[in-house]
Amino acid sequence: MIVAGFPGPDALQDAVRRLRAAGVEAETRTPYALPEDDGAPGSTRIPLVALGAGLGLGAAGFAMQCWATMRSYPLLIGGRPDFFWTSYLVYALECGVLGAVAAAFGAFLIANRLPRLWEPGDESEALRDATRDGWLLVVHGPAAPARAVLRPLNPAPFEEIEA
Amino acid sequence: MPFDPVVSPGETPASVTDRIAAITLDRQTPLWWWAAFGLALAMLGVGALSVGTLFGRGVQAWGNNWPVMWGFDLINYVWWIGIASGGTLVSSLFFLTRSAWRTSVNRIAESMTIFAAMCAGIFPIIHLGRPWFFYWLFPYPNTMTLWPQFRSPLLWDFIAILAYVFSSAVFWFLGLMPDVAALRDRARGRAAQLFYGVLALGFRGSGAQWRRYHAAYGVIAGIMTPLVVSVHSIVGLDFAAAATPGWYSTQYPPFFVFGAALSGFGVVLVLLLPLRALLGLHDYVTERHLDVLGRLLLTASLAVSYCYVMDAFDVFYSGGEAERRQFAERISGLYAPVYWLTLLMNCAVPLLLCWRGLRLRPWVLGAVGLSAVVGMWLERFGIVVAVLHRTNLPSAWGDYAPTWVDFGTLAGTLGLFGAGFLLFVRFLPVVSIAEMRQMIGTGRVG
Repeated sequence: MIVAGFPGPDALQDAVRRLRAAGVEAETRTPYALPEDDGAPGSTRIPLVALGAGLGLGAAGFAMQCWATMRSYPLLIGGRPDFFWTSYLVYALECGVLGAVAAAFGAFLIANRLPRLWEPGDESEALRDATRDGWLLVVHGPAAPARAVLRPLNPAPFEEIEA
Repeated sequence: MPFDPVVSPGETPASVTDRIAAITLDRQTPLWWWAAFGLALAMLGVGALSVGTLFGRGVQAWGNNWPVMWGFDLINYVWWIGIASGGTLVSSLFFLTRSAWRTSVNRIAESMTIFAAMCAGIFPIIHLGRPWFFYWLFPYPNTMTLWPQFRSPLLWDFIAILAYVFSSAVFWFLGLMPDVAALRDRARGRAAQLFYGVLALGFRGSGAQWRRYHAAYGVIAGIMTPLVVSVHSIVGLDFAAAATPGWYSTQYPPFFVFGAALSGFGVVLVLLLPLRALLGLHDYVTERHLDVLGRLLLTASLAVSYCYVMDAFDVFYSGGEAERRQFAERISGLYAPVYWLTLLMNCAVPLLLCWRGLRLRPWVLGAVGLSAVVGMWLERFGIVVAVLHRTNLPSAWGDYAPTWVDFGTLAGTLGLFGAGFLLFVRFLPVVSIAEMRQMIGTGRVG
């Protein structure tokens, strides 16, 4: 595994582009999100997952109330009809909120494969700077082609770690 | 007149990370913290004694009695949930508007929300005659083949609070993840590394993690803003749905949301200003923040004042005899001081903030914030007690006097809030390090 540091986001993104051109995938580690994130493949589907879960759980909450008050346990309350849909809306809305928030957070954890309390890169002192002001990249694949691309760029720090 | 930037010039992503992490990692626990924590624990003890007495003697230990069947339980519940809501508004609404000043105060506002919502959640449970059966409110399969009553507004409260507490906790925790990851990487002791390492769950700041983090955070912030309006509207609807003069009004949901904003902004100020001085946060909480928060509190106060005017107008516009009698009692009867103090503390005192010179003085701002917090509690007292003691039927009139158990329970929740918030101040970053880094790094410092 190779860890390489750069002075700023532009230099880091340039290195990632060069690595990709040489057929090497790199993972960026940065103190905040890169303005133009070239480092990771694909876009996120978290908003869609949250929308689906919110609508699904909201509808399920509404259906559950219909079932409870019309079929399973009909009870005359204050002269209201068994199917009293206006009264179901609040509960259904809050069920939808619970579903959407839980799904957004759950999808975030699952997509990032978290919790993951240890990985080989944690042995690198240099990588800890990513949560301060370090602009770093990690190459998990074969070291030789990555080394060939990165050496001329003079990254600092530059570490090779036994994975 | 030029304003301070939202962060002092000269701060860098590295300096922000080091300084905020050092507050948690490197400082000795200060004496003021121990003193405040001791006081909070003592109040929590009084609360435990009060709740123990309540469980032993039943709800007769409270001052609630016919016709004032709701007392401190409902007052305190609405007050706490209002405070919580104000914190969420600061945190989520101003995230969506991309307000740069929000970055310095959102963590304090969110943490306040978590502990205030916890305090609010206690009252609906302990007010039950048999609180150990509170889980009957969940629609779970049971051998009695019973369901909760979905057509009751009280069940709306249950699910609204549940959704709100859960969502607030997730929002708070997700925002904390990059910061506790920074503490994990700065911590030197093994225990601290383990503690923050487990809390960070393995967040390491990779490109993919950041992209998904921002997507999830944005989605949840987008949900929290309407959620907080819905939660407090539902609390307002609990009252408005009752055919009681003084409650039966369509203005209650927005009236309650404005009140929540006022008390929430007030508590943010009451907590933020001492912390700014005690933790040396002047570089991150600048005059810009004082000005903005002062303006927000003033705006919320004006909105609440409008609602008070409409409340009085409705009484005479509706023409109901019971409404008029009830209102006359509120302004000149047994609880009239509560009504006039409410107007003084929620409407008149915040007007001081019209003057910029006063708005920028921390002690004035803190005093006005405290006035709004106390004023909002008095408003809830008026709404609950003064209304119920003069309802439609003159034969159903009666007075209310809280007992020591009522006051003890309120003190207990204040202690719980204080203890929880102080633990947060001691062990977690009080300012969002990651957002601050991004704001400084991308030059969005206003």
